[in-house]
Amino acid sequence: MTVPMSAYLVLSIVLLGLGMLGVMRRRNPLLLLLSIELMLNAGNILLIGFSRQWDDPAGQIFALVVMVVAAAEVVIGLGLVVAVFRSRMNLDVDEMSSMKG
Amino acid sequence: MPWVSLLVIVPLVAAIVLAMIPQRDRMLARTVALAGTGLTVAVSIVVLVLFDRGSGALQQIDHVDWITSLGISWDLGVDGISIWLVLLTTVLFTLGMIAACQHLPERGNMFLSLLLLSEVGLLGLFTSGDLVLFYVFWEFMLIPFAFLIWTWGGDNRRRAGLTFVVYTMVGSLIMLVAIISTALIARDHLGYATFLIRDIQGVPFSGTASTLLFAGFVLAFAIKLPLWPFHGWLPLAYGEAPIVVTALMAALMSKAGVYGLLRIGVPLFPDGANTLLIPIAILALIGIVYGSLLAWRARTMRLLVGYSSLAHLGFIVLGIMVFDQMAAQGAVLQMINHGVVVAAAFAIVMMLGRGTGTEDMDRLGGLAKGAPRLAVAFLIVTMAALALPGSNAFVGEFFILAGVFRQFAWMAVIAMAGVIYAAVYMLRMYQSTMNGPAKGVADEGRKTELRRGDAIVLVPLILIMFLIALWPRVFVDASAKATDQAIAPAQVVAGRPLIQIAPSAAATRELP
Amino acid sequence: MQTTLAWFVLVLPLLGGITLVAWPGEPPRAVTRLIGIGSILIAFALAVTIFVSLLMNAPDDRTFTSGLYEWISIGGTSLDLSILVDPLSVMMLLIITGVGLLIHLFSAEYMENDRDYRRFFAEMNLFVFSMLLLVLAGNFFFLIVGWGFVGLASYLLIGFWYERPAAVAAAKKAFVMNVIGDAGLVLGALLILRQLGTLDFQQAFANADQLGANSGTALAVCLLLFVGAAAKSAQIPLHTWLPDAMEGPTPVSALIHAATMVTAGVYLIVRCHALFQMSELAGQIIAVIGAATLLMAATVALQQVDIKRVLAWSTVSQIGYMIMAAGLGAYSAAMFHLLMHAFFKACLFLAAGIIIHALHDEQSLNKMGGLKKHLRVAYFGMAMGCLAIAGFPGFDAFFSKDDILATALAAGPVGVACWIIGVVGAFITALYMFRLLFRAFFGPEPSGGYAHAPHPSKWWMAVPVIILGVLSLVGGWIQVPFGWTGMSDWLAPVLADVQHPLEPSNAQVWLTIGVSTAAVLGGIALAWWLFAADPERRIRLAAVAGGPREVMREAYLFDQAYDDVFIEPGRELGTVLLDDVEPRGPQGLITGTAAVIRNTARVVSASETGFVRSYAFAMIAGLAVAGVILAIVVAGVA
Repeated sequence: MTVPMSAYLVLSIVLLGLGMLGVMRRRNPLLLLLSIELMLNAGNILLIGFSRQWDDPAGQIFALVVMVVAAAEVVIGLGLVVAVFRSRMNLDVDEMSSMKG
Repeated sequence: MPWVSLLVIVPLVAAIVLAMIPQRDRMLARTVALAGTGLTVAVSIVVLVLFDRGSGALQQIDHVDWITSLGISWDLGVDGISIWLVLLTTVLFTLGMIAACQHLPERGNMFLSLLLLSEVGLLGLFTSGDLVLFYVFWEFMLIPFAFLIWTWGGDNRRRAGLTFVVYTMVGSLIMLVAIISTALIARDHLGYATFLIRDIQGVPFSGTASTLLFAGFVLAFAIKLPLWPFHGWLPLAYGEAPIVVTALMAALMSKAGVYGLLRIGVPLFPDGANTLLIPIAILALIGIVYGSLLAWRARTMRLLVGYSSLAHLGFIVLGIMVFDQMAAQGAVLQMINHGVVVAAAFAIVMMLGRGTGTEDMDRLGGLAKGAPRLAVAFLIVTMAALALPGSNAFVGEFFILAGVFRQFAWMAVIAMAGVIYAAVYMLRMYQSTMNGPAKGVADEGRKTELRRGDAIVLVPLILIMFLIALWPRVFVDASAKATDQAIAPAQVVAGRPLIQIAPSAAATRELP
Repeated sequence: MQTTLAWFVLVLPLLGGITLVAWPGEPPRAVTRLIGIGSILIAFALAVTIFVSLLMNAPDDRTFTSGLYEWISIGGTSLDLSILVDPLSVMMLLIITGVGLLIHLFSAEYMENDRDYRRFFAEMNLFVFSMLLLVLAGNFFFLIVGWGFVGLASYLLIGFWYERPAAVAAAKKAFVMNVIGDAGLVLGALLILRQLGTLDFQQAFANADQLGANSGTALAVCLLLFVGAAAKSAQIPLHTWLPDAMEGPTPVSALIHAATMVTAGVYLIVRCHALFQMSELAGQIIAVIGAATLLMAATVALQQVDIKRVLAWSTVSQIGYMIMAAGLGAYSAAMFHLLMHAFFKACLFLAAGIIIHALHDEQSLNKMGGLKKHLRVAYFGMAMGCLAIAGFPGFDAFFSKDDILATALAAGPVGVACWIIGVVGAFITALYMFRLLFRAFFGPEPSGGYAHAPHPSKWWMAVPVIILGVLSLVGGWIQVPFGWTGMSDWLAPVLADVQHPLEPSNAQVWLTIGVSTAAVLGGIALAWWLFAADPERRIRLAAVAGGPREVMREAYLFDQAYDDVFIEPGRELGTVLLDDVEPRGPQGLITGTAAVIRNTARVVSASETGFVRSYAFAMIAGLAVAGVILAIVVAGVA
């Protein structure tokens, strides 16, 4: 049974929304990164859905690219989080505001 | 042999070599620096020998196309206006290098390297035939001076250096906008992209365009000169820089602004220049009076000479902006005169400061007794600085005033106030240090007496002053044609005849 | 040939000066004397040769020019380094080198005890060179160069003893006033250049009528040139530097302020008479200023106690006579008086120098008296000089002053007014000069006697005074009314283009001789009565007219006026500009720009909170806005 296009759209929007909420509300940097991942995956789903609808492989290819970039970005992000944790022993994004001004 | 390009390359190479020398090896640094400037002088003399006085156009051009799609090229050459400036630059830098080598500060090799880089910038500026190249060298010249102030300057050097850089940059950036606009309009008119000054000359800019573009350029020049009221950086920069740097800035960097007026401003935008003639002339006149008054009351010798520069440059700008052949040729001569005299004046300030430990005139006095040779040299320089009739500076000043008087008599009358004040403040500098009862220790004077090292710097300058005073023809003949060509378009716009002789003189020229 | 000799005359003092300056270390006194005096001696000899050779030519053939090389060619005009040798310049040459030679001889002994012997002679030589350049110049430019050099040389000589604050101040004052004169002179030259297209004397004078007779331009030219003349010749209002200049050594005062520099202004007017006669009004103004100066200076001289100041003010007064004459157009008379004045004033100054030297630098009349028996040579010189300057019949100024006054009578109503002032001036001149003579040489010695017995001088100082004294006696006979007219004949070729030559009638001449002689004798008699007959009388009369006399003593408060009107306000303005306007204005431009940038940055950086989540929020919000806009656009397109 074929999945209608609207399903992709709804899922994507829901995931995006949840991700945005997470980014805005979460104070734990790990969960921040998780929310960003959610948003990225939301985009991926959208890309694959439209690629399927229009029979254009470009979307799926780009989705693969996005996954690679997401992975790279997560690596850096986790590295930063670990470095900050080591020096400060606390995981609260609001406390890390020394780049102010 | 691309001699003109060598002018730029030789000091650049020397600067790079200097930067790589280890700090401890001061002797080697001195040798390389002196060799570098010495070679540059030699190259400039070759260029002078090859110079053709009969032509007013840019000569000995080294041209290499660079970015052809935009019309930017490496284009260097000399003409009547720039040949003496080039020589002045090379000679003054050599003398400055000699002076600097005698009292080399910490990290001497970097100091000398930066000096050479600023020479590169100035020489490149004076020989550029391409607008973008002109701009590049304009900025290039700024950086070494800024670093010199920043690192080796007086107590307030950070602020001075920063002010200097930012202020000049504001002007330069506006000039960049003007350059690009000029090229765009020229391209529309000529059909091809070019930044060459000689190609753009003759492009008829509309009245508004001409005025706006001219104003854009003039702003940058006015800050560099400096022209009142854009001189705010002067007391800081001149005051905080090491004295050799101050001397070179006052003698040469200021000429960059004048040169820009003569090379780019007036020839390319005669309409704009004519429109802004009166406002600029008024600023120049205010500068003359203002600068003189400030020089009179200045507390240190350095600032006295610095503010007097403001006044003297006002004369030069006035000479150019009235679009009169006699005044313009006088202004070109006066550029050289001022360079030599102000360098000598700062040299004397350096010697006095080094010998007595202070540049504050109120604390010095009666030095002539112990330092007779310095007193003689100082007197000669003082008399040149106040343009005593018979001195080299008087020649330039007289003919500037002659031309200004012909066009706008009232301006000449006001400018005379500057002449009178010059006597007052220069005498103040001389008398309060050299004459009067000796203040302080009795052998203070002896400490300041000219030594051989000082004489090597001062004597050539004085000899050049005498040379110009006795044979100005040598200098004026070389620069006459180019100067006349530079102001000719503006003369036409202003509706003036190109050469003005009263009928009687033409008729009686045959009298014995 | 004449011009070649003239070039040598010009160059010799310069070489002498340069040799003395460049000499390593301090040369022996004899060498200094040899070079310093020798150069002037040879120059004088050459000048005499030129004079004689001119005499041997016909009067029409006495003008020569010579250009050394084309000095500059600029903007359509060219200038040669050229000299003009004609009767006028040769006359000046003789005065400068001749009187200069005598004064150099005098200085050899006068400056004996001074440490800076060499510097003195170097500067004196430089001065002579400058003055020669001034009178030999063939165009306005080099006249101005000579003018400027003379100003420099006089600055150096007035401020010779530069450790004295008074001397330093006097030198500065002289120099600055000279520069003011220079400014006027330059403007005048520029106007001439603009109107006549040339700076060369002969060309300019030939075309003088292009200025327009009695036009505003002619008036401007003349008055501007006169500003220069007034500064050099110490006329109102630029006269205040001369009395102060007495700070210099006495030989300097003799050379500069008696014989040469101060006469430069007179020379200028006579040289440029072709221009000056273009404006009648200018001539009248000049004459009036000369007359006013003459009178004012005479009254001030009467009140002075310092022997040199008396002579200084007397110089100002006598030059007033010359300027007055030149203004009225009596050019030959002016030059005649110039020559006479050179003789007797130098004689007076040198005689005063003997006194000062003998009394170990005492200059006040209050400390002098009864010197007649101690200093015979000085007495001779002073007496000759006083008789000459007063215009006693037969002596120098008798002829020259009367020549001026008689010619003035022939010059219209302004001339008559000048005549009256001139006669009054003659009376006062006789009065103050004989006051000087009587108080110094007659009467009792100052109470307590002299600390050191005044010693007579050696031949170096005595001979010049004697020579000048004799010249003061007989010099005037070269121009005798109804008799031999040597002076006016000599100057005739130069003055050939005077349009309305002034010839006083016989009646005017006799009237002048009579009245002025009466004035002179009256002045001498009054001086005798006040100062010689009863030495105590002046003390008794000291209280008479105290107030006005105080004003006169202070030279009518010109100095204070200049200080209050020009110098103090200028100084105030400069200081205000430096301390208040500079930091706020031009530097404020920079600090203001910097402040603007800094404040903008402060405002903008408010968004840099440092909170990651707020950045994220901002990104998302921006995205939302972009999305809304995109939707609207798409909807609009579709």
